[in-house]
This record gives sequence, C-alpha cells and structure tokens, in this order.
Amino acid sequence: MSGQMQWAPDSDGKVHPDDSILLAYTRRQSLGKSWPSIHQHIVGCERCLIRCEGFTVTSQSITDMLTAYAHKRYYPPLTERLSEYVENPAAADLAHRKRQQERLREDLALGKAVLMLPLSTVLKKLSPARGEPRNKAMASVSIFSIPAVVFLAVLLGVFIALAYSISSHPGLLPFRPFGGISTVVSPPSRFTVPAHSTPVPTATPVANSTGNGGPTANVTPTSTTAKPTITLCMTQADKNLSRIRFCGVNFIPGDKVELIIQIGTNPARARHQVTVDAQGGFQDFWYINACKDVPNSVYAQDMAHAEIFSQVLQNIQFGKCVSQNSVYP
Amino acid sequence: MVMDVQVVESLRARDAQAFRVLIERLQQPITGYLHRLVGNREVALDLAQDTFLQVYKEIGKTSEDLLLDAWIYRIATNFGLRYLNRVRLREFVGLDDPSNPEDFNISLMVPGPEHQAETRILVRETLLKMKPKDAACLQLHYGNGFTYEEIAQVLETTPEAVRKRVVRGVEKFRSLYEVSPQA
Repeated sequence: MSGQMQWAPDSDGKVHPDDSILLAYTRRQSLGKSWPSIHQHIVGCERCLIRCEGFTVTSQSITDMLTAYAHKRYYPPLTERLSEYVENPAAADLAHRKRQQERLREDLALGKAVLMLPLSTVLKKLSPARGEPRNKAMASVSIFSIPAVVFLAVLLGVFIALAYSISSHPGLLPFRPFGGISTVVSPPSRFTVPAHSTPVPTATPVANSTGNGGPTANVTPTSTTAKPTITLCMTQADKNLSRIRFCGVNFIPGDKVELIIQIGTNPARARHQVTVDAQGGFQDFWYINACKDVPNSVYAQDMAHAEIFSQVLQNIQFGKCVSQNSVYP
Repeated sequence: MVMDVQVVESLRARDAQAFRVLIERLQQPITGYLHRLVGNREVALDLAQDTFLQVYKEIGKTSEDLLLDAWIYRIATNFGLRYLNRVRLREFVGLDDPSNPEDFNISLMVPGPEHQAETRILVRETLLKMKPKDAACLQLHYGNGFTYEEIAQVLETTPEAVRKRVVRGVEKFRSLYEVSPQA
C-alpha cells in the first residue's frame, strides 16, 4: 500500500499520520514504502503511541465481539441443498432463473411502492421529526431533495418499464409449463401404439387426480400379462421443478435399463442406465426447460436382454406442452 | 486466500466433487459473514445458497488466474449489499418495520451468559447503523481475518479506500458501542 498517505497537523502545528494510517499500522497492514517513515514517527511520538494503543484495544474488542457474534452458530450444511443442482446443471440454471425472477418481482413491488408514495410523504420522511429543531441545513436538505426525489421517481419509472418489458419477453421468463404451482393437475397423457414388429403392450390413459404424494402412474396397461411397461409418473414436486419422470415396471430385477428418447426431429438417443429394483421397477427423470425438450417418444430397453423392452410412449403431454409428432410410424 | 489453479480448473470442468469440497470449505465462513452483514440467519442461508449457485453457474466464464476465495466473497458481498439496499428501500416506503430488523432467536444460539446475547444484539444494531460497505470491510477484516489488500480484491476497490472504510467503521463502532474507554 503506497501513496495517498495523509498526515494531518495537530493543534501545535505538528503533523502526524492520520487515524487510518495509525490503525493500519497497529493492524500490521501493508503501508508500502511509507512504512519506515511512519514507524520512525510513531515510535517517537507520544500522541501517536497513545492513539495506536487505543486502536489496539478497540480492535481487540471488535474482534472479540464479531467472533462471538457468529461463533458456534449452527448453519445447516448447504451441500445437500445444492447437491441436486451440482449433479444437474439444468436444475441449477432453473433455480438460478427462479431466484432472479423472484428478485425482479420484489424490485417491481418496491418500485411501485415508491412511485405510489405521495411527494408530501417523501418530504416528511426526509424532514426532521416533529419537535426537533429545524435548522437551516435541514431546511436546505428537504428543499434540495425535491429534484432528487423527482429524478429518482423518473428513474424508477424507467426501471419499471424496462422490468415489465423484460418480464413480457418469453425467453426470459422461467419455464412453468404447469402454471401455478399448487393448483395444477396434469392432464392424462395420450398414448398411441406404433406399428412395431415386436409385441408391445397396449396402454390406456388414466387421470392422476391427486397430483400429490409419490410417483403415480398416469396410465395402466390393459394387458394382464406382466410385460415391461413404462408410464409417465410425475409427482407434484416434479411439476414444481419442471421435471419429467418415467416409471418402469415388470423388468428383471438387477438389470440395467435405459430410456431411449426421441426429441423433435433429432435421432433417438439413450439416456444413462438405471438399475431395476427388486420389485422389477425403475425410475428416470430429467428437467424440461422448454416445450421443445419434451420427448416425442420414449421406451425402455433392458441392456442385459435385448429382447426385453417396453412399449413406446408417444404424444406425451407435459403440462401445457404437447410433444411433436413422432418420427415413429 | 486460496489461489488453487487446480481447484478452479476442476470447478470449470463442472467437477461435482470439487464443488462439494468447495461448499464444505467455505459454507460456514460465507454464511457467518452474510449473517453478520444482513442480520438474518435464514436470509444469510438463502444468500449463501445463491452465492454458491452463482459460483457454479459463472465459474466457466472466469479467467484461469482467478483468486477463488476473493471472487466468492465478492459474489456474497454483492448479494448481501443488494439485500440491504432493498431492505432499506422497503423501510423507506413503509413496507417494512425498521424497528424490528433482527431475527434474534435466542434458541438458535449457543446457551451462555445473558450478556452474550445482549452483546450480539448490540453488535448487530451497531453494524446496521454503519454504511453497508464500511460494515462489510469491518467484518471481512475483523471477523474473517482478511488483509486490506484481500478486502480490496473482494470489493473491487483500492487498499487505500479499504483503509479509510475500516477506520471509519472502527470509529463508528467505537462511538455507537463505546467499546473503548479511550473513545
């Protein structure tokens, strides 16, 4: 730290380092090239030594108090709260955008509140309280604050206009295919059975009327045989987080299964493998950031047994999003 | 301050384990710092979470010689100062009650002599009366042990400006709290 060192004269006309330098000196902070001259002055200056001693005492008190303030406070680990975001960048992005949106809403509410304040109220807030002496300085503050308040109001107006224009831009809004978080019940998905050379189970849609609790199947297979089947089984939490979830049943326990999905006009691709549980079931989910990400077709393939695969789900409805036409026949 | 190029590289490569380690290392000091700055435990936790989310999202855009800790504290400080500005504006327009800015829930604190709780409340009130950036400087220096140079990196200012802010904070603290008979 060099330069801009200020020395101030005392009542006797002698110059001394200012308090910021004395504090930095007592705190052993870098004073750059000025340190030798400062040190030389302080050790020979009783006034400076007394002030340094005062700063040392004060510093110790502040350190003790600030340490005591937060010491042994319990903060629950954030690792778990953030683990989902760590493992899923799409979730992190979604959460980040949601927070930004929340702040924007708060700022809008604040801006509105400021604009709604009558000028007299603003002046009252800026003026001294009743009973307090109203000296010239205070009077000048309130008078000169009028253009400042008007200027602030204009600025806020511009800010609100900008914020509204940003809010109305669909690309900047958080993706909420289910609209309100608590009231939406997903409509049943409609599946068609594609022409397929291998036998696949037929499926009929069943509405999930609860929308709460654990994963529930939206469709049930009509076939009575225990054929591998996948269903759309989103929970309310999934809907809140714009997450699509598929559940599989009647697979071989312990086998690895992967969902083969086809989105838009892209070729079909496999998602990561998941292990079938002891009951022959599995679940796989991912985040949907836009309607175009809703798959057209999904089916599950057993990785250990090529002949075992589920029916193909098509025309998948995810909130207000309906998947495009499948490339499957 | 940690300037670990490997850590930054791992984070830039979206290494989940590296990110987890980072959170475990910095969560307590960052949350404690934010708690002292904003005076509300739950808000501090939220802001700490926002800080780490921002780190995760933006780390890819940083340069390789990034001073990781300073950068993270800068993000946290910006979140904290933004929150404080919003609170003050809310108080100004009458949306919040300025008389009750604290979340002092004694049950959340470690049991101890009553004067400890009183001290915390007084410290909190004293910090709230300071300019937010002065309070941030004071806390980073006295609460987190940062040097003036490190604080300058966090606040993107000069060490000279930090020196002025710290002494201003100390004087304010001393006059408000009367910590020293010298005052």
